Amino acid sequence: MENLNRGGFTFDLCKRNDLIEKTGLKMKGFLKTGTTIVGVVYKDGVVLGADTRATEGPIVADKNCEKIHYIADNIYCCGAGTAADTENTTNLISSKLKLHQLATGKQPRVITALTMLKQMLFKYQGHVSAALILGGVDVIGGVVTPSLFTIHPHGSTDQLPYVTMGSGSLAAMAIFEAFYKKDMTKLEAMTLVADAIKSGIFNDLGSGSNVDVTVISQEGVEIHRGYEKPNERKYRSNPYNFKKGTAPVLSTSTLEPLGSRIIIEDVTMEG
Amino acid sequence: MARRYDQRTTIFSPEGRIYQVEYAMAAIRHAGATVGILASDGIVLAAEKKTIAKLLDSSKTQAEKMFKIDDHVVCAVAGITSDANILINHARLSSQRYFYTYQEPMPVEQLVSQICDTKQGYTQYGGLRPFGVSFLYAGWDSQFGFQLYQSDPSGNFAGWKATSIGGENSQVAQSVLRSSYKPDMQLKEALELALKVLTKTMDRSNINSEKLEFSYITRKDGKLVYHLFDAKELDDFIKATDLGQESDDQ
Amino acid sequence: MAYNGGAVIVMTGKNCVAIATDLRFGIQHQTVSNNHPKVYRINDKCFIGISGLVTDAQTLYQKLVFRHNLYKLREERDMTPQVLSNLVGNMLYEKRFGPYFTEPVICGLDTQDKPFISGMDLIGASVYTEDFLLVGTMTPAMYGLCETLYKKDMNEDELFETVSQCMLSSIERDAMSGWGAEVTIITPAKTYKKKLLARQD
Repeated sequence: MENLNRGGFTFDLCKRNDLIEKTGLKMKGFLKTGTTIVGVVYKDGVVLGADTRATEGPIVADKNCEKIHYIADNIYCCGAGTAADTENTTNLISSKLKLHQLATGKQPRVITALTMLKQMLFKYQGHVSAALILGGVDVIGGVVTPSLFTIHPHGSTDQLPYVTMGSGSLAAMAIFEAFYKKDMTKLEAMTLVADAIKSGIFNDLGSGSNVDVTVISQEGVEIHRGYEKPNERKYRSNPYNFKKGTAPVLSTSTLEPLGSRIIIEDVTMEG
Repeated sequence: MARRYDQRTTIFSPEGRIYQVEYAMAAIRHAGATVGILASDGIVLAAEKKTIAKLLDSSKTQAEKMFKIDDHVVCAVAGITSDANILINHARLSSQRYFYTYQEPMPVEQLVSQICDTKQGYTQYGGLRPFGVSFLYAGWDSQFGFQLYQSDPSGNFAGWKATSIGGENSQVAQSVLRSSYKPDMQLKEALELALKVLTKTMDRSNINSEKLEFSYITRKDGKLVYHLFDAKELDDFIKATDLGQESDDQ
Repeated sequence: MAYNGGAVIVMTGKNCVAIATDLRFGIQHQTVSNNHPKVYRINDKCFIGISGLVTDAQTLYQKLVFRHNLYKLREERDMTPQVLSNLVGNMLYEKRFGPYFTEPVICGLDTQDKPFISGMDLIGASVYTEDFLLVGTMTPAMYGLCETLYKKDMNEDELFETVSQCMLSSIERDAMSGWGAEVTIITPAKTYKKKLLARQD
């Protein structure tokens, strides 16, 4: 029976799916982000970066996906892991945080978002496979403070000035370890982030395509979707043009409009 | 002492009455009258609108008292509309659940009976008040064709050829329907009869599209169509029918 | 999920979208029917193609009809493909730990008649692209082909030919799909379906 507005996960197919898999049928893999995601604190705020490849096994399922998710006007979050988990976890916390903001009437704090995220992920004991980088600015004790955290799928968190996550995290971290310095300017930080992401794009198979960058400071948020596009397709030949009638058609049928089933005006009452 | 048996819905009075249910029915008499007439080729639903205000934003072409429950059932409401909305949501959900389970439309009577079960529950279980709403349901199913039902706050329902709910002059409405209803009526005659009934029960100056709502269901090309009159169409219909010289009521 | 087999492609053109499906329904390697389109019509300008385990695809479709009917009664309008996509995504994610074995693709025209396509994995991770999407048992073969044949801003005839070539060529190399194909083209003015002559083996 269809119940509406239930909320939460349902587990009614788990047993059936286990039985199906025992017969030797393989379930399709989930969409993964593969991913290189990074974050760095600079003089006035935080820069977040991500690649844009999503994979399903060895197949590139999405060449230009978005991995920097909105949490609040002053908080964003990069996600790595199972695409559905990162997307839904960040959406859920974003909406919870909005309710919290409406209840308190104050700007949401990064630490609040962090706590909500880690409590949720811990509750699911790592089964919600979202590895996140949370970045934002808020005001603590009258001082504008940029904050940057990583959150692991089991709910553990770290606070560091520069962080990387995902399958490309090693490649990206190599760049950070070599070139990070304290109190960078915005441009320096953005360039460093882009370099770290590119290191992931070119050295990690799970990461690819473009560089997305989001800068959060007290002045506001800058979203650079496609900040760099090092992998534009250049080798396309002349397009294939198929003459009309190439495909052998057996029959054609027009699908009549279903008609708006709400107001129907076509029955006249004359006569 | 007078308040002893009318506080709770669950208690009978010594005369065997449940006052809360009777009060709910009284509430419906304050609402505008709603008429339903079963014709051989369809069903007419017509209603008097009570809430008209100059500043009311009626730009949305939404009906005030007529609601679609599914493709094959519509209903007209008399009583507290907010109460009705709850039941209508229930009804829509029930109908879709039935379709999901059996992949065919829900029989009209079953749908009506299910809503009435909900209504009945609120006359029996403690602490709740009954739904202050009566319905007319117009529906079609493959088994019994066109059907018109009426239900009241007690949860009773019955099938009718022509009936009315609500309105201060329900006696008048019923007697006009009784005397003028013909078993083999066509939709057009039924529409005219509905207008006649409302003309007799309402103030004559109010017979216009601002105060009335007309709709019908019929079948066309094997499909059920639900038609709600817009303002112009309704005014034209009233003018064309012209019951003006027929009689002077009240 | 290679139990029943099947393949669906959605592709955009200029002010039009196409959705192509094969017609095979099999149980593992035994073909049962050659008239089983995996594409369902939700409303005039919105279609969903569901590949994967057929029992789950049908259940999912019936649940969608349920939700779509209630939406229409409440909102007095049809769902846009964007809304449908989010609805399906949420319905699938609800079963995150015991999913339906289905991969849907959604295509349609929005209220401005702009083409929209989206696809998702079996737990509702959405993919939005501007060009094409595909699901089924032969995705590795199809991706390269679509990448080669697709071009921007095709008119409805070009779109039909291109998407047909993609479908017909890829079922040449997929044992689990084929046995006929069907293409539905959605334009602002009309929607039509063409059955293709395809190999029956």
